[in-house]
Amino acid sequence: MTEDIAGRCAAYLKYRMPEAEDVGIASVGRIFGGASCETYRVRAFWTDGETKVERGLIFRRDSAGGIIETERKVEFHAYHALHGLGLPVPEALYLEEDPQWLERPFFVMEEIEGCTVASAISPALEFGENAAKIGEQFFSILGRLCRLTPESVPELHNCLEPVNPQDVWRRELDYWEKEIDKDSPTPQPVIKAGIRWLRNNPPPPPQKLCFVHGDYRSGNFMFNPQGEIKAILDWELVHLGDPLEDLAWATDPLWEGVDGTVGKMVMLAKAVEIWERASGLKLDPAAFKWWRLFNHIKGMAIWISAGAEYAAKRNLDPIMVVPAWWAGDRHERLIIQFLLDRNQEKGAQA
Amino acid sequence: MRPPVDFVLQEGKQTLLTQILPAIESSHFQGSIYVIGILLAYAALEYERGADIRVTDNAELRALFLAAAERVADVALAIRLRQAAAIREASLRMSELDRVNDLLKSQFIELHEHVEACSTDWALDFERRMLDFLASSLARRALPGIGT
Repeated sequence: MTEDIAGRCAAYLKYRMPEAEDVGIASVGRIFGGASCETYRVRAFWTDGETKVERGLIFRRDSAGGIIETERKVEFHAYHALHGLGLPVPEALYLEEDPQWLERPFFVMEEIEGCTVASAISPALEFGENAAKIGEQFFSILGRLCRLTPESVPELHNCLEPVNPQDVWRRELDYWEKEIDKDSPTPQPVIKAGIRWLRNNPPPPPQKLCFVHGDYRSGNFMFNPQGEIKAILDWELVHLGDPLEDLAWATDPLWEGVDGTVGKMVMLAKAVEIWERASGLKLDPAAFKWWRLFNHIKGMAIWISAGAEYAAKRNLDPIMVVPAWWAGDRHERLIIQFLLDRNQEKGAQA
Repeated sequence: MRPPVDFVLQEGKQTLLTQILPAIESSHFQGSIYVIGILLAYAALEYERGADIRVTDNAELRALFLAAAERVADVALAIRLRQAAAIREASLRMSELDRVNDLLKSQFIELHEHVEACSTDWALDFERRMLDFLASSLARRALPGIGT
């Protein structure tokens, strides 16, 4: 399979760079993780005139059975449009939707070298002494994403579904509830109770309609040994929406460190302070509370979908089961704790 | 002797992580082996406690339904609650325990919606009881963390 991928990647690069000669692949390896995409690290070489070139590339293709239905095209345009706007986003090079090359849609982007990605599931404090420094950057970058006016980035804005600010929460909740209903063969009393609470207690419209990354968390960025964030990854869920959606997801207790830091970086209050400073926005605690529960529900939708893909044998990568079992367990318990707290408040008011 | 299933699964995980994983060259397959090891440990836990969790859940759900049937004003709902409480498992196979658990949880959702819509003191208290059940059920099923 890997050899096959190498040959196909070489053929594709030759097609994309007809002037290049001696196009070849020195190495190719699949990167672990990423349940909705297959990601390959490819070391390519070619001759450009008299110059020998060697470059690290990432090929990111749809998996045969992804967790959620995402469009590779939208993700490509996110990388392509946001690169060079002051955000650490890798340069996207080619988008390919013709299945003749790798059977499914894919895109090619630059490899960010000398960096690593944190574990999404371990609460071990892997950022070490750089945790606060990385946290400062992580929440600043998110704030800077909020500063962008979507219309000023037409390449990305024009391929996203428009939404009226007052409809943002309903559109998101409807979408994820539909995913849950589609993929869950069993009744979900905890999730349904959470969804009812969300519908009965809607948040205000967003302070500003922003690009929402959709999966902004530790585990979706690359950092170097000096503690510098060099790339924000996984833009496949990007959409227009409320910036609190990303902030709530980034600070979700699922990604918490053993010391209680959000994303294993900084405490929640510090994260909010950095984000407010960078975004120029003010956090509305009641709205934030809504988006936190929403993200537990959204998480459940993603974990349930992963389990459904595995159970239907559309994607038998064992990584699909971990979210369905482990993350689902965590998020359901967070939902019930949220509801118990609200019930207690209701009792105190009665 | 015949080693217990959960012991075999746990030891299988240890073999994967300590002996097989270091011998694998591909980082992608290393990751897969690590994940399979974790899943084996979870399966071992489920083997030991799975039936107990489901039997306890189903018994507590029946008790909730019978208690609610005495108080809900909706007569049709009260009948459905008593009918659900009368459902029994045909065996202690996991699939059968799950089948009944699903039936009872569907009824639970209807009751929960009904209770939420009521504004009486009883409803508020009973909603708390229902949430406590859900919390207890999740606590029984809780999985240990990864990589701690």
